[in-house]
Amino acid sequence: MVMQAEEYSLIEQCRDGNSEAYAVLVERYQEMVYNVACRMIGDRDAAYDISQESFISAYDGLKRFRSDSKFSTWLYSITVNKCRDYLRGRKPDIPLDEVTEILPSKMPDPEASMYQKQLGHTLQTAIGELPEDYREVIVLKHIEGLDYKEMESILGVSANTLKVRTYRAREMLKKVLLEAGVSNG
Amino acid sequence: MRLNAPRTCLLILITVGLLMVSQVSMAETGGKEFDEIKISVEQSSLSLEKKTSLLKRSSDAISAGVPSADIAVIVKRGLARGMDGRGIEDFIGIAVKSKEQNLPVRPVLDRIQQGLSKGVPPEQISGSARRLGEKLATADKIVDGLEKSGVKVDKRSDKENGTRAVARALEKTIPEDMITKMGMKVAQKRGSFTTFSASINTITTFVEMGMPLEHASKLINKAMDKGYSEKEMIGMERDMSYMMREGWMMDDAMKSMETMMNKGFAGNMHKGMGTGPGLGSGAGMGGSPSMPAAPGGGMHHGGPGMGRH
Amino acid sequence: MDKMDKERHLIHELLDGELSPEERRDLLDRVNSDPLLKREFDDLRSVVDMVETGERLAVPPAFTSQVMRRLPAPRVSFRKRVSSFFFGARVLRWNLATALVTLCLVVIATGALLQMQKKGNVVSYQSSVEKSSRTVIISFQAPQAKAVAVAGDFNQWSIEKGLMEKKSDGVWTLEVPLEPGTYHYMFVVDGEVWVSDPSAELFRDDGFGNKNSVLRVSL
Repeated sequence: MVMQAEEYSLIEQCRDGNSEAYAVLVERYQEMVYNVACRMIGDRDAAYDISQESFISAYDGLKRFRSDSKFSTWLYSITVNKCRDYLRGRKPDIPLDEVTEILPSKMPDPEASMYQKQLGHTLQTAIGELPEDYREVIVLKHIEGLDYKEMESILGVSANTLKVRTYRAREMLKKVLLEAGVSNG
Repeated sequence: MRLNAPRTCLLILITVGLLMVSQVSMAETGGKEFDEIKISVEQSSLSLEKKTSLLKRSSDAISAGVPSADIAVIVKRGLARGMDGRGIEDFIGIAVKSKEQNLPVRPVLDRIQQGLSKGVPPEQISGSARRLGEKLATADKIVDGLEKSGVKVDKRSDKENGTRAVARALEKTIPEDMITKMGMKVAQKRGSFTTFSASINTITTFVEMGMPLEHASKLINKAMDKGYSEKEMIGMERDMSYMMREGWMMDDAMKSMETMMNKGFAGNMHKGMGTGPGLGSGAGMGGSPSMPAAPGGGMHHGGPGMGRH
Repeated sequence: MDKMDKERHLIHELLDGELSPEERRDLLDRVNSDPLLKREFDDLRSVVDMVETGERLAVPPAFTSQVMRRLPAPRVSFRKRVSSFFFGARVLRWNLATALVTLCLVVIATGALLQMQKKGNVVSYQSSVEKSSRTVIISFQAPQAKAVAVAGDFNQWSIEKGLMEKKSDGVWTLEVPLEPGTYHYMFVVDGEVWVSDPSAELFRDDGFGNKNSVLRVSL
């Protein structure tokens, strides 16, 4: 994987102790990290903390980062691990109260319709009902739009296994949504 | 090491003297800000008499407890707009009156500073600020009464926030008895001024948006019955605000809000939401008859055909 | 694998864009001729569409600056600073005058501290407010503007205090430290045009017939 020269230079500067360069990377990837954490956890406040922790851990670990992979891939894997730690440290199911915290409107978008918001809430609740590894593939594959190859690097599981896992996750999500009263047509 | 007694003593005296003088002057007269007021007034084109009068008014206001920084802003901004000294004194007088009545002075100062900055005609500013002062006085009495009736005060700022919320509601001609009734409801539920202020602010926002008072009251009372928190009340305001911006007719928006409250959706997904059959039914929400097309690239893909219509 | 399972597997492959055009066409033909399969296909496609077109969540303001504040300080330079502070060579020239002035300052400072302790509450309250304040980044897109300011109740509606900085993409920004609470503001374009923030969640009447935007800062 070839990293963009500019990104490579930023990472090098961070390694040399220039934290300003890191601010550029945080700015660039905060939306990605925050969205993954929100969808995985279902609670905005916790997701915020996890995102912060992810960036801090990434900064600490920059020396270990191998420049032959993409920075975003590496960051995804840190975030997913933080989410796993968080979820494992709590009850296996997310209480609905907390699911409801997430996914109101996208804040700076005044145009988000009530209808969309409802769908969004329903979707988040449904994702929250999936087992953790199913949730991961749905988030990475369909919310982040990654391919199986990249997911393989992030999750450390073979692309073929992930494919099957994604199929099952979709089926399960479909089932949950249908049970929740969202049907097609 | 060489001794130099006279110089040492002199140095010590100067240091102590300077420190004491600066501390006293800062405390007594509003220090830096009052100097700024003085300079602005002296440099203005006002007559000597008006200059003296304005300075005295400013100094009295500071002594009465109105923050000197705020007086400085009002004086400087007023003079910069070419206002007559008397007009500025009038502004200061309104703030002093609120202070003397032991009312929160910040809202009045804010109204004046805002009006001056936005270029509102002085008479309109003083009219608006004076009315606000009157509403704050009424609000203060209502809030005091509610505290006696059992509305809890959690934080020091709670009562002041309550007074401000009530004054804002009164400015929008929400009747006193309606406000008091809402307060009594909070008291009965052993709620706090945080809940009360949130309810009052939400009903006022609804009225500002053009919702008929009785409907706004119905919705808020329903929310209060359901035990909505401050956060959920804010969520209701936000939801209504979105609908208004999307061009929903008020009638449709109100109905939607009510339906969503019944289903436990309003206020950013109220805690009543469950995974049961009610979840995500979204009945009719996507197909509001009055929803226009999204302006300028908003996210209105309207969903991929999920949802029961 | 029964027939239905096989078809379902193909549907997933189609959703992943892994079928050839011929396979895709064949599958769609079969889907269209079989109501059960069609239902299955439509539902799955809807699920995928729903997930993929869902809203992206906006990151709360000041996220980056908070990360930056929490980063560990660069170790080497910190150590260097400490060691140079403690062990670096320094020349001190003392005489009685400086010694007495120092003593005097110490006495005054101690007195002032004792005085502050007497006032107690006020001082500690102020410092706790400072601790709990957050830096909010306010931004406004106006590539054509020559100057943009944000004026609100947090800066006494001052245009001068609220002047924003233009970034290369035409977005004007300003970092404002704010305590938790509710604030009202408007943008001032080119020093005279007052506009509400189009991205604000809420608006409130300003008492003069305009709408202020509302900003809420939570802990």
